[in-house]
Amino acid sequence: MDLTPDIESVIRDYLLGVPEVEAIVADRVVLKTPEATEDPWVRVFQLEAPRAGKSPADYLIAYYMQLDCYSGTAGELEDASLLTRTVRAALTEMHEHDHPGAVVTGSRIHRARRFPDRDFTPPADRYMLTATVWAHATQEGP
Amino acid sequence: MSRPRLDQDLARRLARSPKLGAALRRAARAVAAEAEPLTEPEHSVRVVDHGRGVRVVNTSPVAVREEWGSASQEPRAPLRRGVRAAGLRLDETR
Repeated sequence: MDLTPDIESVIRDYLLGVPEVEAIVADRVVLKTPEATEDPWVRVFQLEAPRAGKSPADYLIAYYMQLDCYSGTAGELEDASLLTRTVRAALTEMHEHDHPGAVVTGSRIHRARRFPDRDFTPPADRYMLTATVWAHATQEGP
Repeated sequence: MSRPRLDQDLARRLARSPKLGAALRRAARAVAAEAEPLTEPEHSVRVVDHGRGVRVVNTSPVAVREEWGSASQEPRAPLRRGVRAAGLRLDETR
């Protein structure tokens, strides 16, 4: 069976390996909200994974992603802004790097917007990135 | 040889076209049908024709959280997913 890549894990692992991202969030690139939210963190979420183009082959996938970049409750707006811009730059370069189980052929940022999270009091500084990441499995599979 | 002329009135005439209006309403209903299962409570998604265009609206009291998520809830994105599932192109630059 040919499985498609687990893109959330691929993006998480990639971002954790980018020194500029790691310098801000340490290991807090997550797929679910962390228990401790004082420090900056990024949540990676796959909204959709349709087949790219018109090929009948379920090979190249256009992953539609949302990445929430939080300053952390102990942080400032500037922290969230820097984190978002750093993640954005890293995503844009993702196709230039090797990834376990996936070949990323391109990425496109759709929108980056400031969107405070009112789950927190006062609302937490958050920037929201939406992007499409095109990827397929490696020969060895994901 | 005649030069091509820009039809300045085209947008206004298209906006009044019953056929275009019907097509927009059909597309909006398709988006709403795809979005509805992703919202709570039921029947939160409405198609609103305000004369100058057609909108699909999530009237849920937690619509913003459903669409964009929060720390305690991952984004369900009913409207964004609805647009794409209906076969339309989602333009996030607007």
